[in-house]
Amino acid sequence: MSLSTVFEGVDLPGILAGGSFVLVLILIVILAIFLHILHPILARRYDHLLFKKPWFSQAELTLYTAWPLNLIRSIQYMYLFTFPDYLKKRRFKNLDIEIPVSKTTLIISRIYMSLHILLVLIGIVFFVSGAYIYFFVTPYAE
Amino acid sequence: MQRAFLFFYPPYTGYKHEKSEILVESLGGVGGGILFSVATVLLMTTPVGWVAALVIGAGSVAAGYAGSSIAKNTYNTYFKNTNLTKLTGVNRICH
Repeated sequence: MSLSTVFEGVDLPGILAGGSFVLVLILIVILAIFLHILHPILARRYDHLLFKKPWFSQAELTLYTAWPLNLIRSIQYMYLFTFPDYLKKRRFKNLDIEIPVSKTTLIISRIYMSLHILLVLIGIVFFVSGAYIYFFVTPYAE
Repeated sequence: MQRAFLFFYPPYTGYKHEKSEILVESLGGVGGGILFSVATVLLMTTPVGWVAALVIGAGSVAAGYAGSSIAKNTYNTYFKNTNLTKLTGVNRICH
């Protein structure tokens, strides 16, 4: 059974909802693998510089030490490397120390963050089109 | 054996259809919950306290429920004739 037969006779909301659902699942798996490979490297390099009191609250310092919440820590670092101007106004205020970021780390964090934002956008498409089908499309006749 | 099978799972709904429904529902629930947390990470640009953490936890549960019902409804509306357990190969593991 090929993909074309699955989507045969399906109108636009169905294609959007079904396609975004499949894409969301694929992207979640890719991002999870990506993050689990990157997390130990980023933690070893930047924890002693960035994982501290003024930038993370005491609750966060406790919560983000164990899986799965420790992945949020790595995402915040990559968020900082990708959007330094924005994050230095918000979470990492008064970040006066020089953070050593290599070119490879920068490129990898940019790739990660673009996939992350893409996942959020596709997720919005899934929820909006799915809710449209849920409330406005008449269900199949039994 | 075949008769007993048909007795417990009437031919209309179909055992296969129900299996696909359960698969889609659980994947939608997991996907919805993860999507909510992935979106909130982008918004967590200021330090988060305990109250906000509890709100995020409750929200991800709600998003998981919404995701599962939306996915199930989409499957039932458009892809009812597709046997997803066969397509994904799950039926080789779970009979």
